[in-house]
Amino acid sequence: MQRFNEYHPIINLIFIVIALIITMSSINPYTAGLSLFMALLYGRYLYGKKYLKIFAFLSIPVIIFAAVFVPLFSHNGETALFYINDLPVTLETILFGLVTGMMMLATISWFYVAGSMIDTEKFLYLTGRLLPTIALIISMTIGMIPKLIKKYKEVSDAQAGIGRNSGDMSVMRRIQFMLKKLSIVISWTLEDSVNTTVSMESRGYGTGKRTNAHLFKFIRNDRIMLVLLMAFGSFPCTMAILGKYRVNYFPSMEFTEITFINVVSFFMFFLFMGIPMASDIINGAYENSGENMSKAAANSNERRDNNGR
Amino acid sequence: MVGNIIEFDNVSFTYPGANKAAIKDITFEIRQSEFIVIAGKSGCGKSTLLSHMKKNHIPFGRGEGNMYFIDNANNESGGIPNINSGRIPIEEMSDRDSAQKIGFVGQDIDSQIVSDKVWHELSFGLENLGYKNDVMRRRTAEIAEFMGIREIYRKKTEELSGGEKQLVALASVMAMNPKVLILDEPVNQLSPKAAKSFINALVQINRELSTTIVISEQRLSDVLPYADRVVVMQDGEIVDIKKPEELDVVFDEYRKKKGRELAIYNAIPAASRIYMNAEENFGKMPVNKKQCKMPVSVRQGREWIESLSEHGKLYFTEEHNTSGKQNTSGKKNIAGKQNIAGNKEAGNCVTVRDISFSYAKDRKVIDKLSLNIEAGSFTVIMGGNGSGKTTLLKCISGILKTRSGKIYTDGKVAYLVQNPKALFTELTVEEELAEILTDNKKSDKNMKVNDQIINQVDEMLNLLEIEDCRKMHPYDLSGGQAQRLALGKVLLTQPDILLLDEPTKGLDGEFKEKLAQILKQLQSEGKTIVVITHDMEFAAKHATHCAFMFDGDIVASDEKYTFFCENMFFTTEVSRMTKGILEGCITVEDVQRRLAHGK
Repeated sequence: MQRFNEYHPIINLIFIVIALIITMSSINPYTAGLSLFMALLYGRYLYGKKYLKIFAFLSIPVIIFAAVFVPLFSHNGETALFYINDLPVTLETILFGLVTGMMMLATISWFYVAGSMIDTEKFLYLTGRLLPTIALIISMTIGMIPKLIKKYKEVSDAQAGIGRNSGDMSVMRRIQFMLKKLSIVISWTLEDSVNTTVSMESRGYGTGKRTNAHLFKFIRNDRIMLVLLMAFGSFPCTMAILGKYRVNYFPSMEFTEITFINVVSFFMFFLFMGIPMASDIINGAYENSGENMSKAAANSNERRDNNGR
Repeated sequence: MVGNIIEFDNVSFTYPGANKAAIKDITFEIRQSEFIVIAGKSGCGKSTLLSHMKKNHIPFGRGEGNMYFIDNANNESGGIPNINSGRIPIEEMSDRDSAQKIGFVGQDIDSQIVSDKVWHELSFGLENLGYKNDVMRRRTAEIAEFMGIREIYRKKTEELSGGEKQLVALASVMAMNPKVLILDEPVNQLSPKAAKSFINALVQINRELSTTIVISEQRLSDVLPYADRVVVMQDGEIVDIKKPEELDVVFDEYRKKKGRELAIYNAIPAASRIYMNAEENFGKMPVNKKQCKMPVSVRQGREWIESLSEHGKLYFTEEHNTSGKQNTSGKKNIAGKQNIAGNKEAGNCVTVRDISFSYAKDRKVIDKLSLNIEAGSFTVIMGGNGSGKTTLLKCISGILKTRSGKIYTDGKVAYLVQNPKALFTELTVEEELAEILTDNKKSDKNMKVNDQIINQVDEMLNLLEIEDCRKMHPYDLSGGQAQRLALGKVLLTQPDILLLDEPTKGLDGEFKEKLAQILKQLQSEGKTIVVITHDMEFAAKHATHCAFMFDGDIVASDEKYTFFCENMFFTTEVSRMTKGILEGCITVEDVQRRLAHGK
């Protein structure tokens, strides 16, 4: 087994896309709640306690927006709780706001978790499959940032070398000075980009359809994982796309019926979202046992050495 | 008989707006698998000539004549049918063919690299040609293994050293398996060490893959021993094409015809220069010229000098030897030492005591370094990349603050960074200089450009010999001019101590000489000059003191003759060539003077 982020990018993408489709297809308290719970659980596992702290911080504005602002401005629904300026604040809008907020939070935390699965290189690969040119632009932009920083430092040193330090300047002059340095960096970069273009052309850029090089391999583990993801994900995903999870809030709430099929599909969704974490835990256990075994082997070797003497 | 691969037929080219042709009447051919060196000073048309060998590099302007690419091999490009085979004009090659069959590597290191990872950079050309991923992996793996860059395959390109970057640029072109490699001063911006390993990679490509190589280079010492033929250029024309050992004939003929030396004289190996001048000085060779070829490497040079000495024809006696020594090394040596010993405190304008510096926690860049720099001296600091030279200068100039130790400086310090572009802000050269004068006077910011400033700018332009380009944009200046303009900006701040970071980088012999003259003049005005350079010959010729920096410390620092004579390996070509035969010679001029004494 391997950690989930070691799988082929396509696998990571399939997982995250299915999870998001189900989460976002309907404002359903069950799917949103399940999704949020699993995303938090996995996030906590991956990033530790600080993840929950960040999440709590993030959730404050979302909850305020969803549970306070939505009911204030939307007055649909038939169960009026109280009145502000003669306008009703209804139970339906509050619930609608809360579930929407939950769904938004779930989506955000899945994106956060996706960051651990899909790094820059995988991202470039995935975009490169569809849009090779866009992938190249992104890759060049990523490469550009450190170059710009390097140039800015060099320009700063050059200016300091002729006695211009921002340290002994007034605020206005300091801003002027910074703009001047930035303008040097920009004209320098533009000058360089002419060279880059020539270098790209020399190597045949623009002569035909571009392919995208990558170092990823689709191995047996990926196939197994694909089957697993499909086995658990396809059913709830189809349900979501067909609109089976839809909930009506207005004028009055009609929740999803608790039918057998629905319960099964929720359970499958739950299992589906647990796959990455399960994969990581199993792999972690395997790694640990491997470590222990090698330690034991080392110990026994030592012992043997001692005995030998 | 090996066929030709590139043919030039009466090619001339004039840039728009120029009244003189950049290259004229170029007719020559390059045979398959040849290693061709194009020699000439900067501005002689080398780059223009090279750019005519690849379709997308041909500049806009007025061109005449024809360039041909001859492609005999069919279907070598991985199953993609080869429509254009035979003799085709380079301008009419398909973009795809041109990209694949003719590889180009330029001198600018950073801007040639497109991708953020090495493996991706290696695949860049193949991606453009639409290869499948498994083919690309195979090709890039092959080329990484061949070029010995396997260890950096997965690295980020920005983390590489200059030498590594240039190797990656080369490997990226090689991955397409071109028939011809065109290189426009590829090692210009590299340290000598990195330059050598780059050249070695080229030689390997040429010898083992029989790829044709056309390279232009200013410092010929590194490439000459490997060249099959050398194309000597002057003023946009080909003077001659000869084997490297036969170059002296070209020089002789040119001297006879025009009465002056070819411009690339300073670029050829020291051994060759001594050889050529020996003949000049004596009228006839001490050893019959037919019997020994012109030496092009240190080893050949040493063998030649040894053969002179064996034949008893080495032109110095004991008496001349000592007199020579007194003239050159001896006197200065003693004087220098006394100076150091005598006025240790009074004579120094920079005293560095036990400084340490580190950027990251556990890696010290400078480690308990001490250094004294005499007032009014011209000190050169040498050492490999990453030895901490630049950091040392930044510490002395106060840009970086040291953790421990003390630095005393007597006078105003100015520091000039490596890349002059980092200094240029204005639209013209003269504004660039005036900017310093108007900016430094903080009291009256609104001061108009007055006569005094104009005078100062004029004086500076005069000193730097760049009056002709006063209206030009700083970015349009040549490397040597840009370097001098940057120096001018620094000088206008009126420093007493001038710290220069590799001002000789990428300059050809003539520009280097000009720079040296300017620096010497400043020195004679009482300024102290500290220069970082990799160029030992420059140091040996112009400096008064040399220091060798290694692993964050100055391991040797001395008056230059003592320095170079006592170093075994880290010393000039001439010194390595003559050590044990002629003592105390570190420059071509030293040997020549010695030989002249013999006369």
